[in-house]
Amino acid sequence: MTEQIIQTGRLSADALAAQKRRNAWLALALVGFVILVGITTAIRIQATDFSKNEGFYFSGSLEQETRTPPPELAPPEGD
Amino acid sequence: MTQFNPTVAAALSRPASVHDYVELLKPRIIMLVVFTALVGVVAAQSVSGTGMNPVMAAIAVLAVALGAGAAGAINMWYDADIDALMTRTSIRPIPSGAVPREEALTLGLIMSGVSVLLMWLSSNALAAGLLAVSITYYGWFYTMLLKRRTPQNIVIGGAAGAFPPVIGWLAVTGSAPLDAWILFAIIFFWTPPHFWALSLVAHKEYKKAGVPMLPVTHGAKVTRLSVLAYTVFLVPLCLVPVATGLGGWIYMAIASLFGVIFLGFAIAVSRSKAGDVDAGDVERNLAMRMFAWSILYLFTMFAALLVEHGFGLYIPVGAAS
Repeated sequence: MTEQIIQTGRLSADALAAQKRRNAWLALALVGFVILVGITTAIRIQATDFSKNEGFYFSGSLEQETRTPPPELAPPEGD
Repeated sequence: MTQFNPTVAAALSRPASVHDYVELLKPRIIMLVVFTALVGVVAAQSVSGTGMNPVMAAIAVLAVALGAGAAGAINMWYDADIDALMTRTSIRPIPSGAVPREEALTLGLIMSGVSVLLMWLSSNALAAGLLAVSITYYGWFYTMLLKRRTPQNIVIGGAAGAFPPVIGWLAVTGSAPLDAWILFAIIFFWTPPHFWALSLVAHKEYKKAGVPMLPVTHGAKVTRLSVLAYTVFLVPLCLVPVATGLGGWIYMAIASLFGVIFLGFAIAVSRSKAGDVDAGDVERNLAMRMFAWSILYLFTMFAALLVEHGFGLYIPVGAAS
């Protein structure tokens, strides 16, 4: 049984530095995306009047439930 | 375990910088796209009286920029083989070995999703949908279907670059009225004379790469006449916004003056030998000057609309007379 020699590509110092810079930009882009989603969400929340059922991500009904008032209790009969 | 991959090794021989990835997104096209989308956003607010939160408007324009960059990356991924054959494009990130091809596709697809999502969050589903359509139109329909099959590639593909002002308008109002589609039409009919002027100079490169541009398939004379025909149609079309009330006095003055000069270039090119085998530097310079003027022509007309509607300088032509 012969062992197969596998060559792996090794990064030079320059390539490694370039990779680190790219990773930093990727991280920055991800943080930027999260911030932008946060900003749009905050602005939408501010602009939404939830009392009028102008739903924001929530598609259900926000109408207040109307409950029938409990029947008045009859006065207790005297002895 | 990773097998040694000579392609990867070749790619790593020139470490990719952030600049390479920016180039992958075609930044010059992004600038034009962002500018026309911004005009759509500003004009829509002025004409319809509908306000848009400025932060949301900025994010919507950023989404258009990201979408354009995504389409550019997908285009570079698909066209890497023919880019390597042409001198002008051989220095692009993929053929030069800086960026692996599959990375360009990945970047393009991720950016497409991010841009559409951001557009949706900042404006509405319709604008996000049209942005998705425009990315697909350029990245798939133009790049993969039209570009290598028909000499009308630029004509039909020109719609991809014409969407941004409509998307901007949709982001503000949620609808696309006639004025938005007039801006679309201006860019659509501007694209063929703009690009064919360049192709009259670069037709040998396209022939080498096997791209059926009009000068390659039909010759320089047909191309020069086509440039003239589209320009004759385009120049009056650019005055239609004045009739609908979208453009005021400033727009009319610029569209008329710059249009007449552009028409002059088209006539001069049609009478020249630009693109012919025996064409000299004078003819080549003429075609390149027309190409450069076409960019200035479109830019100044849209800048006029931006100034009129964004800075309160709009004076309707009918009311002032």
